[in-house]
Amino acid sequence: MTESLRIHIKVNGRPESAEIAPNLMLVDFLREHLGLQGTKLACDQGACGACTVLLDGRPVTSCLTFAFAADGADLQTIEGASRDNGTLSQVQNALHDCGVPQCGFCTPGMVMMMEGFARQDPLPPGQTLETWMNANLCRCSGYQGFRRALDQLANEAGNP
Amino acid sequence: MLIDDHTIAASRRRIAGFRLHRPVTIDEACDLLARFSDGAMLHAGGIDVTNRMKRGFLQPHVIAVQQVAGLSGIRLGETEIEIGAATRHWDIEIDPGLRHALPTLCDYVAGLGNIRIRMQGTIGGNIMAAEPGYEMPAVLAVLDAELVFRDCATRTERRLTVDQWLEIRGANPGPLLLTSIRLPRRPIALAWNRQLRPALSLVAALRHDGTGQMRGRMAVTGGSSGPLIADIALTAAGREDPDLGLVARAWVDRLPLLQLPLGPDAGYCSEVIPILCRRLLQTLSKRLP
Ligand SMILES: Cc1cc2nc3c(=O)[nH]c(=O)nc-3n(C[C@H](O)[C@H](O)[C@H](O)COP(=O)(O)OP(=O)(O)OC[C@H]3O[C@@H](n4cnc5c(N)ncnc54)[C@H](O)[C@@H]3O)c2cc1C
Ligand code: FES
Ligand code: FES
Repeated sequence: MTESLRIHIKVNGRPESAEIAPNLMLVDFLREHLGLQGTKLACDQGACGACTVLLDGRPVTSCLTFAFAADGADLQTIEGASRDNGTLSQVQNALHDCGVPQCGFCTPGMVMMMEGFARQDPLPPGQTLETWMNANLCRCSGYQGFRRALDQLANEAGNP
Repeated sequence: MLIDDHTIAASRRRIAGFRLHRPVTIDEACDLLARFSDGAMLHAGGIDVTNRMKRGFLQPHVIAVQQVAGLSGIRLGETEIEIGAATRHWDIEIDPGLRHALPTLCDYVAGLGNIRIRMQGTIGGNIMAAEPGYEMPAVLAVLDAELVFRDCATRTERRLTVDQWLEIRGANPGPLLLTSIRLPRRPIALAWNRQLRPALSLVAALRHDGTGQMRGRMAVTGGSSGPLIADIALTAAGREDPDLGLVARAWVDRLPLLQLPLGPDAGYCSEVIPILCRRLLQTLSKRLP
């Protein structure tokens, strides 16, 4: 038994509306319906971070979120991460400069986590970008490059 | 175009269809829960609901409660702290009032899972999922929390301690909506060790009881369906007791059993739990207000 419902979501600043089945996952809505294939699906159980998107500014796993739960929300995916003029964002530049992406499969999720971090205010004591990034896995194990990218971002922000 | 079952191809594990309900009041949610009873599942953050459905668990009705007014948020009273059942872990971590009143609870929650899980998952979902490794029942039990339910069959409120809830939850307690969690607002020290999680984790609380004694509660989470809980009373002088090892051993002896059906074996538990308990006592004695 599947009853449809209409949802309205702003995706990367653009209003979208669709008639969906309740059992449609957000990751499928993005990839299959909107064609936004930058959001990846890997573990499918909330552990790896490949499917991270920002829901009203907060990073969530789109593999564990039904599309209906995003109704009325402001959603940001990797496709909306670059600057308005199409150049790379500061986070993307840092990852690029430090040669972080290898196969690149985890990179969109990493970028969205970092963008999400920048939007949180207040942050609980002791939480840093580094502690947040424990939540994302890289099968190519490019963690050293990643650490350099974090250092670069910290330097740019004036707290080396 | 309707995006339906047939066009859902990307998810590794397909989820069967269901009928979605989106109540906006507690009464509406309760009506639905009473009406569909065994065929309905509440969806708060949806993490466990989704994971279970991906594993093939099927409910014809899903009741999404995230829009329900009054089900989330933190209220600080003179003597009590109230946390709405649908409050997300992250909102507990960052709440300035709660951080002032009970900072160790905020710190504990900040260590759960990963940041995405905490942004999405709710405290009520963690309790009601009844998964062996989930920690909130243990933490709330040692803090002497009460769970406030709306009994949707009788339309009455039921306040249960965590211990009472753990006792009745396996015996089909009927359609219950967890509405909030209430914690006494008083000085209390909380300490934990999660290094061996999910196999084993310990949390303990210690407070003065106003009669010159200290009351301790410890809970072990891991390989059993709910936390194992043990109480201890200590004389205030015991706080300085150099032989914390003995106190730890006495406390651990009060646990109902050391065999965790799904976890490490009894021999391992009887060696390791007293060591972890002793470390907790050291931390607690420093943190005791
Ligand atoms: C990768 C990962 C890591 C994790 N790590 C940890 C960890 O380290 N420690 C830990 O403790 N937990 C951990 N968790 C568990 C996590 O905290 C829970 O999955 C989450 O809190 C569930 O909340 P939810 O709102 O998404 O629940 P939902 O999936 O919405 O609901 C869970 C269950 O509770 C029921 N329910 C929900 N709300 C109510 C209500 N108000 N009244 C009655 N029933 C209700 C639902 O019907 C369902 O049966 C982890 C989970 C994942 C996926
Ligand atoms: S694919 Fe969603 S967290 Fe791994
Ligand atoms: S670059 Fe390949 S998974 Fe991270």
